[in-house]
Amino acid sequence: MFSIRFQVSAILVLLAGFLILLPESRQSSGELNVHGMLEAMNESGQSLSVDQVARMVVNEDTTMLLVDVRDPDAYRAVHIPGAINIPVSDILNPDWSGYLNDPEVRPVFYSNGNTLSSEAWMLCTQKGYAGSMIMQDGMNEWYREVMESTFTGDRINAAENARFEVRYRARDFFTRMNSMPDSLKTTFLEVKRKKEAELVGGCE
Amino acid sequence: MMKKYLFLILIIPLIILIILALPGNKSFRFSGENILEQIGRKTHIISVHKFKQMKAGESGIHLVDLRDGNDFAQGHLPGALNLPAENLSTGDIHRFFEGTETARVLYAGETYISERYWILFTQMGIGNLYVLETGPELDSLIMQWDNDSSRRILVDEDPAFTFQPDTAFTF
Repeated sequence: MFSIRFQVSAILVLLAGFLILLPESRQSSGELNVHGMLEAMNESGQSLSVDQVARMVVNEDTTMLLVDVRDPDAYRAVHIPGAINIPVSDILNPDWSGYLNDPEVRPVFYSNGNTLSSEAWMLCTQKGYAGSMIMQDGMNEWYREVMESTFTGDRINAAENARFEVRYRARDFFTRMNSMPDSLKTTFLEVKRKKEAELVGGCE
Repeated sequence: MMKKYLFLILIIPLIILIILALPGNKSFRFSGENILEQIGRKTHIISVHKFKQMKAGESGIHLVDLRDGNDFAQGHLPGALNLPAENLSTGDIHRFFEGTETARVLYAGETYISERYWILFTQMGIGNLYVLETGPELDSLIMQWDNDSSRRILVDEDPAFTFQPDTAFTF
């Protein structure tokens, strides 16, 4: 009854209609649209605890990049070892996209609390930079848990022992790195890595 | 004759599909750069004191509680409307804010969470929105609301620590 051309056209129109009605998450520029942002905001795994970050710092984990989004003065005064400084006001500067949109490295934003780091997360996620996270409760929590907490119980279990071991190592690393002038930091890191390699039976 | 109708049968769905494919309300109205500029003005987060001042001058202003229905039912700030942020759809957001011209002030369990939704809604083009600085404990603010007149803003971004350098470190 209908020609083949008509039937093929009708099928294509129906298929296109189906595709258009599917909820898209992205615009053609790669940026997320409203639907994509709502999905991203409800996903779990957007944040790391300070203990997870401490482990990452102690192990010099290269799959994560700590990004301090506070102003440069706050960063210069004190920051977590290995962090780079990109103030939130400059977070969308395309010059930083190499750091923030690297498929091999996940940025972890931190500030003193959660406000600035969340702003950075929202803006970068909407921009289409996938995989970024925030350090939950920021430097204030880092200080409370990693720098100042001590074990107060009678008997420590294996998990708590491991957590405090990491905290003490991170605390020591943090204090040393923030106490020395920039000119000594590279030498310090080389010595630290050499000592650690010897401890695990490396051959350097 | 039949060919004329076939042409119409194809062209009408195509026009409908083109209309559906237009960005419409799926895309953001403002760019991230524009939002960053608004964030930089630091006028979107208001203290309890400022909210009460605004409320005295503009009776239509409403608080919007972004927590889920259970939390809202257990207690909320006086006069607040509930817009549960989990599982929101684009349509829900447009319907909620449709036709409102008076200011809406968002709050959630923590200020940074409501600011996230402020960014999203503002980027969608919904104007006249603010974020209420609820401080560290929303529950105590709910209980003390009548007596609270705090001017506090962004307390969680103040450093609560002092670094003590180690002047005797060795390698």
